[in-house]
Amino acid sequence: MRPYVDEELCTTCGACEEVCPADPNVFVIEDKSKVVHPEACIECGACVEACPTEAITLKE
Amino acid sequence: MSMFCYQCEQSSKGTGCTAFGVCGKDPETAALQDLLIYGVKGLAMYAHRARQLGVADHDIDVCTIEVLFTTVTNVNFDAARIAEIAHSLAGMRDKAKALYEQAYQAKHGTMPEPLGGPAAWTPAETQDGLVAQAQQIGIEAARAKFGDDVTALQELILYGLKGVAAYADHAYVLGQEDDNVYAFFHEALDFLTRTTYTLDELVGMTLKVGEVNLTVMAMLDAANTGTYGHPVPTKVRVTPVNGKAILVSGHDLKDLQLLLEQTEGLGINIYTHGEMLPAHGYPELKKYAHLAGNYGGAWQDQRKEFDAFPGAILMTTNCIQKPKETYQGRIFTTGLVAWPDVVHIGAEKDFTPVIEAAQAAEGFTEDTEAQSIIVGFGHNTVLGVAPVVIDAVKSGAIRHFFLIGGCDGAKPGRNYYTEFAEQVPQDCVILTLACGKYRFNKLDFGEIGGIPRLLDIGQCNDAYSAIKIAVALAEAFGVGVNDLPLSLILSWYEQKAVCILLTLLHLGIKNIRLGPSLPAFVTPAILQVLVDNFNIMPIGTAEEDLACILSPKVA
Repeated sequence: MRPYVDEELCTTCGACEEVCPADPNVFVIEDKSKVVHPEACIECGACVEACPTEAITLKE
Repeated sequence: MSMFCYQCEQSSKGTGCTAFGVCGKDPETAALQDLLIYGVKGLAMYAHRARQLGVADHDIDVCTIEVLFTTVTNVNFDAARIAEIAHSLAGMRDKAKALYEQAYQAKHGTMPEPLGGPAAWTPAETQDGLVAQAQQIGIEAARAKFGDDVTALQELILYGLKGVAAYADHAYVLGQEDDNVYAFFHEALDFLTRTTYTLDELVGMTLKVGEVNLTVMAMLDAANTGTYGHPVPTKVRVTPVNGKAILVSGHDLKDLQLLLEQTEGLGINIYTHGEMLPAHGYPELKKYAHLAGNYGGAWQDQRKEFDAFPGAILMTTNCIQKPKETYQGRIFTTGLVAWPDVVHIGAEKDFTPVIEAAQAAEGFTEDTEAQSIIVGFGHNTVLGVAPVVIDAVKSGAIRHFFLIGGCDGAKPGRNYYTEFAEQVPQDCVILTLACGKYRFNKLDFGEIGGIPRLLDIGQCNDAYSAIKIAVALAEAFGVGVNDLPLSLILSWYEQKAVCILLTLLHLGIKNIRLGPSLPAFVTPAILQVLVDNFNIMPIGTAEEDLACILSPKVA
């Protein structure tokens, strides 16, 4: 599984990048949050939990 | 670590941010901001009592508005800096305490009972310790104690005060102050430390915040127009020109003026961003030839636009968002704005680092096709042509006025305001102010008998101008403001919009349409009070709302 960001909902607050424990970080905040290292995801769900706009889902 | 904040329009899930702020505020920063509010209430308990005994202190007054302004959305995201402010705030509280105790002793010959609650707060030494203290005093603690309705009104008062503080600080920077205003801040913050309330007391204080904000917006208007002249209609280029560049965002005209002075003759063009756009209309600012134009849109687009801007960026006031690495080295903050690891220009206002960053950056390498918009329709300009406007209304050339204004934001639902402006019929005039205008201010609306159909009144605080215009029109027609062919279609995001809304309610303005969503902190019971007294309503769709407003009224 890996995170997907709904860019309509993303406000670029940076919560996902901040809480992501993976190395390298799964997210980079561009004009919206981008999943740049999906392969690094450890499926902890911290980003889903932290996202204040419910923009992130973990899916295959 | 968790947080709870519901002070802005983007509150998570419409109820409040609990894991991380939608604005980008992390839980630690949120906690420390809660602690600042707790601390400034304690300071106010002493300052209010001291003033009742006839003594006040200017440093305490200024500290009060600066602390409140620091906690406004999108102003200060730097936890370490906020922790420092907490410590200096406690020192200022001690000063207020001593002031009160001396005055009390001089009058009564004895020492007063020490005050408890926030007045007795001793800040923890470390940042972690401060965060731990904050965990005990947030909004959730208030909800448990007072219930949701009382907490909602307490927070409504507090958020209004934060907005007023921002405007009071802008006015103070330009030398405009009023002791009665400072006295009110302390009275109102002290009020928020009480343990029991009646609903009437809470509603009364809420509307009083709106009343005082009208005074403060008038002070700021006097400060801006007194220093820089009355805005005049001015064409503003919205496409860049060849050359090195600095972009200035926020609301502080003085920062812009100082930067214009310091960059004169250096071959650097200065561009306004966001709420700085109305600066182009002020005679004492537009006289600088290197004030080249306006760049970009409202605050929520900054990560894309600052990335693409080939120069330095200066953030005054809000709204700053988390900088991208690509421009972290060429963005600067000043005043009360702060971001961790972003260079801050201090009170001496030496903008050398900004200028050097602009010179090191590539700058724009070619002129782009000239496009422009018109700004500068403050109360002086609009009322200067009042007879023309009044005749146009009487002849039927102008059927209705719409004030479409307020904050912009990231939510998809904010398209409503663009759609609304586009669908306003040709025989109606649109007044606008604040950054919500970027949803439609580059569209061509044309004119009615020489009067532009889109009149840009200015920044959010220029709501004062809009109020002056509305009151003058009402007088000219011999009716109340609510009877004018004028509808208010407002968008809100942060606390300055809250205090403006309270001012409109204080003035008895009814039928306001508010969006894109209603405040998360307002409970159904409180909303009902607002609906019953002011017929305030949420926005619907542009089509429905326009049809409803313009349908012939049944007598």
